[in-house]
Formats: sequence, structure tokens, C-alpha cells
Amino acid sequence: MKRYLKLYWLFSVQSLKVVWQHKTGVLFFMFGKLIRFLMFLFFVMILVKNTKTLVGYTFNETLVFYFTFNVIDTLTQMLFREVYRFRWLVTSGELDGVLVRPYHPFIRVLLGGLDILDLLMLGPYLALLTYFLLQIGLTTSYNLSLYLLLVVNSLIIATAFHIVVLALGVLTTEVDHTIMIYRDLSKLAVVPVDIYREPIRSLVTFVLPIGIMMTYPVKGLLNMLNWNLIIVSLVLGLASLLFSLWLWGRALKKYQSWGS
Amino acid sequence: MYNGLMRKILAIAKINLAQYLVYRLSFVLWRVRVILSLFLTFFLWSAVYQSRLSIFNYSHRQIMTYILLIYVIGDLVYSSRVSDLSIQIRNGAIINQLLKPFPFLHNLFTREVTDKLLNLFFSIFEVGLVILLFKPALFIQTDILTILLMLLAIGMGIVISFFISFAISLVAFWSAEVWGPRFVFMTLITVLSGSYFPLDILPTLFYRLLLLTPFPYFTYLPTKIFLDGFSFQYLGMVGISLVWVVLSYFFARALWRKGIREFSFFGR
Repeated sequence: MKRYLKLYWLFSVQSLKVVWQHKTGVLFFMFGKLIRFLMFLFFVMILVKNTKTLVGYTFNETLVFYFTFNVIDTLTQMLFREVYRFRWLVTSGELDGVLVRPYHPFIRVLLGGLDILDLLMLGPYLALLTYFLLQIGLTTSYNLSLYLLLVVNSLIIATAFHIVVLALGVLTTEVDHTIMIYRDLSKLAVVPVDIYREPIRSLVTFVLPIGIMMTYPVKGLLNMLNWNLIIVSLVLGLASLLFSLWLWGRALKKYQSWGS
Repeated sequence: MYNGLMRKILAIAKINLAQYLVYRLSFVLWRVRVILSLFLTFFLWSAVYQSRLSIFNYSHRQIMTYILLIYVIGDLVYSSRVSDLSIQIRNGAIINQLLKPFPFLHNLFTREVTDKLLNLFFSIFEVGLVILLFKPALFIQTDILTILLMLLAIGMGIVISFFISFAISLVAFWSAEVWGPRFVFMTLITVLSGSYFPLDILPTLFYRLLLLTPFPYFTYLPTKIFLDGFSFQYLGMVGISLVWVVLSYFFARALWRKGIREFSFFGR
């Protein structure tokens, strides 16, 4: 474990050095991200301020959904940024070099590119989330524990998604669109998935399962989930992780080296 | 000479189409991504109107029309291959294009038209599917003068968007970091051209300041003209977009001339 932490640290430092080579790009990127975040926040705020509620959720509750989405989404991008660069590893044949190394390939292809820019964005998101959590006043230790448990479950599902993308990358070399479709799908839950009509709502909640990832933690916090739904979401999280690991194993068995 | 040029343009259009057919999975996945963004705004606004008839002076029917129309117009205005140009400049592949017996900018123009027509076809199909599945109430504009003004505004939006995007690609003549300005440009387009909401719901001062930038003229203005009908106010706004057409054209032309004069590449 200590060895893996050391490796992770080395990869992260390396990733930071690469980012630091593009200082101007970093500034543009941060500016763009900030503008996008602020404008969508403004949109949600102006909408809910005028309508008083959004599908039954108050202004503060809607913003807790929004910031929970941002925290989970940013954490996921921060941890798994290397997945976005995976296609090149496959098509250039460099993946061979990763697979023969004496450590688990995930430390390189899944976690090997900590995104410092997302780490910088995470601070303000967490601060705003805490502020609005305090505003809704449902912060008993039971609610908060359930919220955190379901956030961890969300991160497990997100990890599974990224491993599936890696597996599909090995099988088909298609990574770029698959990962962006994941991003676009998850964006559907930037507001409570209750806005969608059936059967789309069930589809995005249980089949994809973006709703469980992004919406369930807040629903747990608001006492809107019974134990059956909580257990279903935890089982789904575990099942998606097991499925992704199985698919990764299958993909490696089928892998034929590309490139030179 | 005209026939010869047309033949070349058609040949390039066919090559473009053939390229899309080679990478058809990529294209289909791209369309899936685009329609997902429509789902979010469509259902979000639908949810808002569940308990009310009107908000921000927009009826349910108007806002649904706005969301669907701006989606189609956005596809027409923003779909572009001009971002590939920066890669071609960086890896020197642009030399191959410049040496061909066909003007480079004609080539670029043909690629743009093919790309836009293909994306327009798919976006109309997708919006048709949404209308068929969810049956939103829609507003139909029948005034010919309004439709003509809207088409003019769309044309202006396409040209401004092209020249700005072209100018961003030309940054590659001097810097490898084109992705930064392009990311900001795309982000600003997403949020400031009215894709999520009609811009006139913004605070008045902010809205007026925004009208001085090129962003409202990409998709917001044509959509508003369609909804509100012909008026001299919108004619004036089309005038402002004409100013942006001229400014963006001269800016892009100056960058192109300077870049192509200073450009050199070895190894191809």
C-alpha cells in the first residue's frame, strides 16, 4: 500500500509539472470553468428564485443538489483525468509498457494524472456546499452520515464508469466520445432528476445510473429515501464496480498490442 | 472557370462526406452528446412550467419553441471544422493544403458548408423526434418578413462565429496553446448566446452590455426574431451583428495574412 501511495505521489507530481508547462492555457481553462460554473449557477438561482420551488425543492435544496453534483463531478475528474488520455496509450502501443510494469496498471491509466486544476476548483465548491447544507438545517449526524455514505457510493459508481471506459478503449480504441458521453450523461443530474418524465427518470436513475450517483446523496440527506432504495443504490454501486473489473479483465484477455 | 470551380467544390464536399462515413461511429456518438444537452434544458424548463403559465414574460409555448429552435440554429451556427486548422498549422499539414491547385479558403468554406448541412439534417431529425415523443406546445411563425429577417440574422451569426473561430485557430501560428482560448470561446458561447435561457431575463444592465459583444448574435437574436416577429429594434440588432461581421472579418484576415507570412515548417 505504501509503495502504491509513493507511486501515486510520483505520478501526481509529474502531472503537476506537465500542467505547469502550459501556464497560459491553465489561466484560460480556469477562467472558462469559472464562467461556466457561475453562469449555470446564476441560471438555476434566477429560475428557482422566481418559481420559489423546482419540482418541489426549495431554493437552498436545489443549490445543495447543484453543489453536490459539482463536488462529485470535480472529484471524479480530478482523480481520473488520465482516462481522457488513454486512447493514445492504446493506439501508440505504449500500453504494453504499462502492463509489463510491476504494479497494477490502474495506478497509471486510471489514477496516474491527478488534475490540479480541478483540485483548485474543489475548494470553493466544498465551501459553497457546506454553506447551503447549513442553510437547509437538516444536518443531524444520521443525515450527514447517510449523505457521506451515498457520496462514497457515487464515487464508486464513477470509478466503475471510468474503468468501463478504459475497458472499451482497449477493446475498440474508442475513448474520447465514450468519456464525454459519460460527462454529458452525468450533467443531466446537475439538477434533481425528478425534472425528467417517466420513463427517462427511471432510466437515468437506475439504468445509467446517474440519478443514484448525483441525486441520491441529497435525497438521503432530506430523508426522502427509504431503506430499500438505499440498499438498492449500494448494491448497484458494488455491482457496477464488479462488472467494470470483470470487463477490464475480459478486455485485457482480448488485448492485442497496437502501434510499433 | 465557374464550372471548374464548382466541380472542385463538389468533389471536396463528396470527400468530406466520405470522411464522415468512415468515422460514422464518432459522428453518431457526437450527435448523442449534443442531444443530451437538449434534454437537460428541455426538461428543466418543462419542470418550471408545471405549476405556472408564464415566467419572465415567456409562455410555456414560447419557451419550448425557444429551446428547440435555438438548438437547431446553434447546430447550424457552431458546427465547424475550422478548429482542425490549428492542428494542421502545428503539425505542418497546412502546407499540403496551401500547395494544392485550389484556393485554401475555398476548401475551408466547402468543408464548413458540408459540415453544417450534415449537422443541420441531424438536428432537425432529433428535434422532430423530441416533438413526436413529448409533444410540446409550439409557436409557429408565419410572417414572411420575420422569417427573412431571422434567416439574415442566422447568416450573420454563422459568419461571425466562423471568423472568430478561424482567428482562434490562427493563434497556432504563434503558440501551441490554442486549446485555452478555444475552451473559453466555447464556454462563453454555451452560456452567453442563450442556449440555456433567453438572454433578456438577465438584469437589464448586464443584458445591454452583453448586446455589445458578439455572443447574442450567434443564436439568441434569430430565435428572438422568430418568437417576437419583425420589429425595428431587431433590425437595429441585425445592424450591430453586421458591425461584428465586418470587425471579425478584418481581424481574422489580418491574423491570417500575418500568420501565413511568418509561417515556416521543416520536415514535410
